[in-house]
Amino acid sequence: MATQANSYELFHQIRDTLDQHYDRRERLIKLSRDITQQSKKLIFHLLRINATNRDRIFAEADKRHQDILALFTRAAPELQGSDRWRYAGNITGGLQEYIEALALWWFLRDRVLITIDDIEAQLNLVLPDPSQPRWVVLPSDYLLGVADVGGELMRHAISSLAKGDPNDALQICTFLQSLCGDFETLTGPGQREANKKLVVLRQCLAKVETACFQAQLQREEYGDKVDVTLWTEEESADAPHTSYG
Amino acid sequence: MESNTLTNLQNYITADTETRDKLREVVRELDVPCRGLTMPLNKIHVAKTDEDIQAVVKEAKESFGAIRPIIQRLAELVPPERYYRYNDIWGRTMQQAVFAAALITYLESHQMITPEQLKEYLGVAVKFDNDHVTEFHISVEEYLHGILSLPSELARFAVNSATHQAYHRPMQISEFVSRLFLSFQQLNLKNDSVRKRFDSLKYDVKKIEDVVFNVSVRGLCQ
Repeated sequence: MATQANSYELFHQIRDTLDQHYDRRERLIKLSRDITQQSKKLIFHLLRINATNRDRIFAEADKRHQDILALFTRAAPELQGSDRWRYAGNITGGLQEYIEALALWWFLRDRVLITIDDIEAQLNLVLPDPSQPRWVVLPSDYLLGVADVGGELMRHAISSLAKGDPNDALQICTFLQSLCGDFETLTGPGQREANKKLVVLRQCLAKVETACFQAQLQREEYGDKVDVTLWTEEESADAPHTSYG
Repeated sequence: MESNTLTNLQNYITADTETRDKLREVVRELDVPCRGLTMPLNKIHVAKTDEDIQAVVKEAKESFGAIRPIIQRLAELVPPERYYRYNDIWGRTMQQAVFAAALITYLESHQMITPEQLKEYLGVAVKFDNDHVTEFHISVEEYLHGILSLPSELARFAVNSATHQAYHRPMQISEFVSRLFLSFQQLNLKNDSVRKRFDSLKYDVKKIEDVVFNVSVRGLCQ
């Protein structure tokens, strides 16, 4: 009889433990999804940048960033110590999207690749008290997040060319070439996610390289007289463009 | 990337892969005595008398002498902070070890294995709370999976026991498995692998009850 009572108590404890674990996981999955959504909006916002609206775009980005950071602050206490790894898979989606947004922002502003330290500094910015839970960015989160910026920069490069700014596109091209090169040395067998992203990154790079090459040909043939709207399909809504007629 | 950032990342990835490889190797080693356990334990289905069963149990128990030191080595390789980074590597093997220990305990005493007994068998404790990991342990999930392997094995044992005219056993098994069923019913399981295993438990319960019915309707057990 004694063991029966013990078993009852034990399963009660297991129930509480599992409930707590499932609830926490659920909360983090929700936060991760919210962070993803807001980060996506931040990315779209940043891509509306042009030569005249830089300051306005960055100021607005700052505001949006604060909202995202508030979500991260809510998640932080649940991800301390060994729990960082326990729930790594539940939060990584949002974190990667956020890193992608930050990486895009940093590139547009300073033409540099954001570092893990930069990201951690942003995430822990809102923590005035050093005893408060801190955010740790895992190298895998960083790599997978940064890899995604290739797609955004490709879009930006193409639209820069469309706006007649081949310089910008060339800078992106150089940046992506270096990023892709770094990635090649960091991926390998057993890193399925990273390898998949590398494939996409290579494709993005190839598109930017081809676009830059074509732009160069155009310039050789027509010089600066070329009307950019003739050879591009994309037109930015923000850009004041000349009409066909 | 700055060259030292790149080097740091490369080092991190290399170290991570190395740890994984090392752990996999130890788990492969651990698999050998764990599989070795299933052989003697399979004999319970052909053993006729209770004495035969106890002989099987004695043989099986010896394997744990080989299992404990390997688990110890595994424990030394796992940094507690990153326990959850690697725990998928040994999950299945650990479940098997838990199952074997629980089955042996049942065969000896007709009781559910206690956490204390399990620790004696495997040398590491089950962690029943959500506190931060400070040492290597058996996770609640591994524990539950291991325990959930009992009913199907015992259902088979009930059938074969009746065949061998050990008519008292199906009753004992039925009582034990229904208690186990009640225990698991207390849990709020999510739609995961534990839940799936639990859902199939009722078929085992039914199978055992069938045996009990057939035996008792013929007046073969008191």
